[in-house]
Amino acid sequence: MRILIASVYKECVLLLRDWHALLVLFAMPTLFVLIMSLALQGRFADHRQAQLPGWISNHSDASGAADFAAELLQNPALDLASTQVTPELSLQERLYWVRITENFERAFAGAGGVGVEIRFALELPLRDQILVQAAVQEAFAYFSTTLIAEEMGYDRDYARTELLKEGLISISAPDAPPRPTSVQQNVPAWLIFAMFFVAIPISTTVIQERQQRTLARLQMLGVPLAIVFLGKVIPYFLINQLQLLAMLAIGRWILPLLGAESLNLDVSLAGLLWIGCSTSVAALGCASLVAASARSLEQATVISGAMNILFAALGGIMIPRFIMPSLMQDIALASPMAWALEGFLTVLVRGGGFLDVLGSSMVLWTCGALTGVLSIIFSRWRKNYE
Amino acid sequence: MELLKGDILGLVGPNGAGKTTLVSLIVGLHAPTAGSIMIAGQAARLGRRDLALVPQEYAFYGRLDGRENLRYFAFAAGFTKADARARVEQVILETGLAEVAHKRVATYSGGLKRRLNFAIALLLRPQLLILDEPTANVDPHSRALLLAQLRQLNHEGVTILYTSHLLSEVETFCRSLAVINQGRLVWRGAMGELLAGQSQILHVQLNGPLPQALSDHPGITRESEGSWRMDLDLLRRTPAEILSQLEGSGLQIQQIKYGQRQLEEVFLALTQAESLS
Repeated sequence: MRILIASVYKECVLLLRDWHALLVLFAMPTLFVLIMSLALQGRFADHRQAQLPGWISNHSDASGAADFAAELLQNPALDLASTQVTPELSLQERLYWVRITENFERAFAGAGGVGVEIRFALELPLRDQILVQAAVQEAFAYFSTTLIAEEMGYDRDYARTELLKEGLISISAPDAPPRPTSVQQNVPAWLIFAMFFVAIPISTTVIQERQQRTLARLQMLGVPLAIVFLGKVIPYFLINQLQLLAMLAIGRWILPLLGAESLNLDVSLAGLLWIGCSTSVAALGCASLVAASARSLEQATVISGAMNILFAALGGIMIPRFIMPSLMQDIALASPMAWALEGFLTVLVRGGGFLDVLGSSMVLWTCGALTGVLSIIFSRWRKNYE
Repeated sequence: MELLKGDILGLVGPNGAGKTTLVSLIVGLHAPTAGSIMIAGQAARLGRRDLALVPQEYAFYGRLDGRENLRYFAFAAGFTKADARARVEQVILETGLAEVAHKRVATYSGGLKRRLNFAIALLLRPQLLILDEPTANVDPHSRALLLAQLRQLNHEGVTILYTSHLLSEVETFCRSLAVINQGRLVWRGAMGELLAGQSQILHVQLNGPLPQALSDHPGITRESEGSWRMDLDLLRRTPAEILSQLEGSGLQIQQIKYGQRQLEEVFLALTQAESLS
């Protein structure tokens, strides 16, 4: 036990004195979380928001214009805020402006001119522009049909059910799983990426110690390889947990200061910690495999880096899985990072708890066990044949 | 091959001869595919407290200081906290590391790193100390210090197995010698015994060319312009006979040096003969 404590302490001291490793493990994911959460904020908002935010202004004195505006405000596709000045349209604010002109009544009466103007922000996708346009036309249809119905002596309901035949179209849409916001996606994603980056310091120190015969010296002193392994893995497991706390704290407190939304941590902490531990087990297993299979420091650095980038690209870290084609979503499950991210999203987005992440965590533990066994086989093979 | 208690055995051989492999077998890092290795009546294995290896490489942690390194290896060797502290301080004093023990090892000179490598091995007070190229890249001062410490340890009863490519060092430091080549033991015996059986060599510097009768003789080789190396055993003559023959040929002897074949020459002869066969 004494040697295990001494080994853990030694490894912690070595790591604390290695600024390069600390930069890779803490500064890099912090920057990624900040940059990606802020840069992709609008993109994720497009996908998750049911209503498109926009401005409405009514410059007509006619009562009909007020009724039309009221109809527009009721449209479920639009999230409209009133303004009387020319608004600024931007991705961060509101994306379009519906302006009811002074000529509304004249235009409605067919005397010419434009009754309603719509202006779009440059960033608003064409699909959403068409949606806004359709919603405005729908509101106008309701408005004008109601007027006709009222002239015929009927009420508003008659206009909707009998004239517009609202019940004619049946709509059914499955309950889609909630999609993460930019912060909910990027904080766990880049945290996982950073957790797997322990492969670089672990593999390079193991190879260095193997080449310098420090490991042989410890073996000669009778230190079991299991203790050497644990002495190296435990500090990095703790580092992974520190990364988890640091990235969650950044999501919760730092990102809001920069204009992003705050990461909601009013979720199952047990689930969060468990998926964090499971991710760490998989990451440490992969790191051990790289350490056992690489022959030189250069090989270890290249293999670790390439493995991480491949896992990240495949596993939905760089490109969220939900925007991938169906086949790619299935292929993505080959990456342990996909399972880790799935576990984090289950807790952070879907409000899942410990039991809900057991499936993902089992896959991660299996990955850790398999890579661990493979690294033992590699190490034995190396000892016997090299 | 035997190594007697209290001996200093030099283990020499060309690169790839199997020195490091043999050392790995002795310390138990590898298991022999055939044969066995017994140390004080017990088979070689890992974790022996009576044996220590000073590897060729700097087998410690560069980002720790000297004291932290020693303390860690003391814990690895099973010392209690109090024992580790006491033994570490003792070894620091013995190896002259006191002034630099608080500094990070990465800042040490090559000589200091060799000393720390040696100090770690001393933690266990081994009865058999194996040193694999311990003076490689070390300045003469540090080398002399290390060899003096080794002599002192040997004087206290520690048996030493010493591998080195510096044959002059092996010749003066070791009492017995084992020469291995291509994984085979080529020669084993006392250093004096090996060198005593070697040819007597005469080096002469002359003012003119050697008579053809002499220059064609296989016992005579030209070292440089006017300088000749004469193997007296092959020539089957005494130095006096050779010198009088040279003077009789009208040659003037400018310089003369007489001695035995050095270990380096013997080593080359032994390993070359083995490689050729």
